[in-house]
Amino acid sequence: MSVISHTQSFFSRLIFFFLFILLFGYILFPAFKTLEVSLTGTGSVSFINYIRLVSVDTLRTPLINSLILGGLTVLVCGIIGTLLAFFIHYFQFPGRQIMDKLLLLPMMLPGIIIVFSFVQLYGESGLVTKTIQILLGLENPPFDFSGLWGILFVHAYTQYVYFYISVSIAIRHIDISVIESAQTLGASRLVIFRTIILPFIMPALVASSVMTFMTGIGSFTAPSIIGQGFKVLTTQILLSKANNYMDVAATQVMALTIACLFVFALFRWYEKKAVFESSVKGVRFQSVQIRNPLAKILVTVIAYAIILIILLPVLAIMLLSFVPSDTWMVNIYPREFSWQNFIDIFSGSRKFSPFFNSLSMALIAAFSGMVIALPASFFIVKTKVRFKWFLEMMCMLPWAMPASAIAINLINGFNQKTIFSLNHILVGTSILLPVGYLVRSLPIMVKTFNLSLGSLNNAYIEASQSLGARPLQTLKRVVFPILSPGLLAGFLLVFIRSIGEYTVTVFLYTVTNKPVSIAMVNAIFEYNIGLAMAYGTLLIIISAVSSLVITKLAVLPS
Amino acid sequence: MGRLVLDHIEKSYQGEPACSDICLQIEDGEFFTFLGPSGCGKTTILRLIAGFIRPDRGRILLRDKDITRIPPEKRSIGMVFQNYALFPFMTVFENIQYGLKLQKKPADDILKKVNHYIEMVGLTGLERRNTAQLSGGEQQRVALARSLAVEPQILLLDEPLSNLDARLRDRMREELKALQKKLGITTIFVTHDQKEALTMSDRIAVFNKGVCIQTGTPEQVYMAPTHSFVAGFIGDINLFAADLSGGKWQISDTVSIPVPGYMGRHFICIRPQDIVLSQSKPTQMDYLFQGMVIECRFNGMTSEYSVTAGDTVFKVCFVNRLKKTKPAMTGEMVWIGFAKDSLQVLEQ
Repeated sequence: MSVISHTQSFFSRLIFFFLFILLFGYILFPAFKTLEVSLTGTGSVSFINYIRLVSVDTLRTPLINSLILGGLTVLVCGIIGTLLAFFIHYFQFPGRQIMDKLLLLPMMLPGIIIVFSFVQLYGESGLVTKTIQILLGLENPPFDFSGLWGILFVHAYTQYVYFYISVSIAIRHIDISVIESAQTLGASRLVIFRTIILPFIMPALVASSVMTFMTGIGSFTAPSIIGQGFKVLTTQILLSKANNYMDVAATQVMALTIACLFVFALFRWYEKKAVFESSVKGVRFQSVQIRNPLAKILVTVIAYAIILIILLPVLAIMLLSFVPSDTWMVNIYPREFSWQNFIDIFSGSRKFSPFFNSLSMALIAAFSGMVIALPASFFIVKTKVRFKWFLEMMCMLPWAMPASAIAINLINGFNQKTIFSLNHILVGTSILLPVGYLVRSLPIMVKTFNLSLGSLNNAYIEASQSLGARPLQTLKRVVFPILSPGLLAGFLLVFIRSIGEYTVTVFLYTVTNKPVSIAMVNAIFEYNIGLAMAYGTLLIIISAVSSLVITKLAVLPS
Repeated sequence: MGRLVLDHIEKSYQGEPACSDICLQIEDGEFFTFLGPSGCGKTTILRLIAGFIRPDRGRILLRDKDITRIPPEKRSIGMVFQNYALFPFMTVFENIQYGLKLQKKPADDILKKVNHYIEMVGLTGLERRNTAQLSGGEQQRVALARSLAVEPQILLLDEPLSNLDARLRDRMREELKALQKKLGITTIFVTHDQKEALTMSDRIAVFNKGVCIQTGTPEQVYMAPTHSFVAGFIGDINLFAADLSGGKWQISDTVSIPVPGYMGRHFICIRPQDIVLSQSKPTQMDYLFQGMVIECRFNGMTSEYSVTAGDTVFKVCFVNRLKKTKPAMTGEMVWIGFAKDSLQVLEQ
């Protein structure tokens, strides 16, 4: 029941057609190109690249490492995220609400910032490492922050959030009377956890495991900066590309994509089979007041320790951004602080341009994302047009594609003239990177818009129609004002995810559009840590402000 | 099946008493109802009996055994929740088998028992269904079978009919009562619906503001309320505050009737069906006076009239019969009469 399904006007068909071509051209076509390159790299069609991928040691090890990394990431993040969710929702303690919000922070920060702040804190000469070393009087650093364990440490910090969010939601939906009825039937606490609470949160655990596994095997930033000897597919893809073995890179991308799609398909199968719905609204889970004063102190101490761990990387970056790099070479702790790094960024065009580039490309991605995602979402949620499932599938596909795969796909797709790029070669131009940002964030944008549109009552649309408005007028005068909070939230999400992006960037940036994440890495390798941290601080401020706006928007009724 | 005793039970939340000094004795096989408006403390008492919360004071005895400090899973008390609280990730069969499995019964015993209770509540054929695919009434039956299957000493029902539509509610009411009678299980039923309480219960305890005001059979609490709250809560009633110091009740400036033997302000109650209304002056009535009809509502089986005599408004119930003319129209003067013994006087 909607505007479009009633009218099926020529205009809406035209929009649908263009949308279809655009999504096909920039999402499916490049993926098929990669498949083609992987199969035809040797001149004729063959599976030789795939056979080599699993039979040659140097190619197989990164594949296995990626799977190990994905699996361990799920395990570590699952334990941390689930425990945190239970901790926050089970006990009452001061600052619980703030902590609930703070725990989402790592997801809002660009990955590259987190990796560098971790290096500054826990690396060989990191602040925490050195502090522990001095306190314990050790000769060598107490731990080695590199390789698999270093990557896992970073993943634990950044990716527990999926588990935390979804398990939290599941806990909040547990019906207390279900637990009580199990009690009356003779179930002890342990039995209740095993037979009631676990099945309740199982869909959340499975969904977050899938998300975490996909981001885990697709992770590039941490492996490329602290991975050292631990080689994974994503870093090898860049290496293959740099050495111009595009067929090998394409095969590695296909391996990653297939692994992701496989897990995703498994998840959809599970979702269909196992997801349940409680039929009558239940009594919500209530947190427990702690009576024992000693336990109260313990819980509070744990809570504040967690808050400190969460905030430490942000604080470290902000602190170090005020340290002029040349003053901090020999000392363990920085002694001098000044605004120099920020003055450098905002006075010299060479140091300002990466920041400006990132800002403008993130805006381009977010704006063009709106232009595509809004009509797409409208077709998906509000119409019954044919092939809309295909449209939705194309919009959601990048979700199951690691960032490095998206980048390689775009390179393979547009290193030649295509009809989709109006007969231009896009590789080497500054337009391909914002396209990459857009493709990477399209699913989350469409998903946000879908939710927003889903809550838009069709009666408004029908009222507008009955008053004589044409579809476009209805869209502009009625639909858009109601949707604007959701639209702004989607816009900001894409903006945040793009402004500090590193993985797609490494593959697609050119000298003309060098963004801030690359400038940060360069500054670090030039030992200009203060400058890198100043870039980081700026990104944190932008992300924090945008996130704040998003959370404020979420409170608005839609 | 067990006798349950609540011995001076008290419970408060953040200083606010939820129930105070509750003393009740529920006999073997009895269908006992806690009746009262929402927030009167009836659900709190039910949860105290189930063991989800502990009383601040007092003891709970089940078959002479003090269970006050025993956790709910060891009390052998079954409960059906208002929202049924079915395990959403289990089938009908798995739901009912849950408690039996925890009792570590042999597999074929479990199978036999589950099937027995499925048949008893009329769910045969739905064993493999997901609970979400069931109607409200069917879910209710699963919840009932699940609690009964573990053969508890007492069955607690927390407003189990409130989520059903009116017609189904009537049917379930009868089925539930029949099942309880057949099994002879001691049952405590919580409701705010006085009709439900009156038709199903062996005895009723009426609660208000955390206090048990009256306990008795349905007839007792309806016919002989000991408190104005009970009189007003159960059934329709005319409840008048009156000063009886002069040995009479002054209905209007001109009309008064003798009510000797009381001092000060009291409540006077008369059920609407005990009042006779007619256009001509009736004979053989203890008290008779005139009033004016100000409203007439047709309810099907009965019509309800509001009649004023001075400042006093009487509700009068009139049974509608086929081919019998209405006693009066709005605005007409009529005679009101009632017998001496239909009048009750309660403390204020």
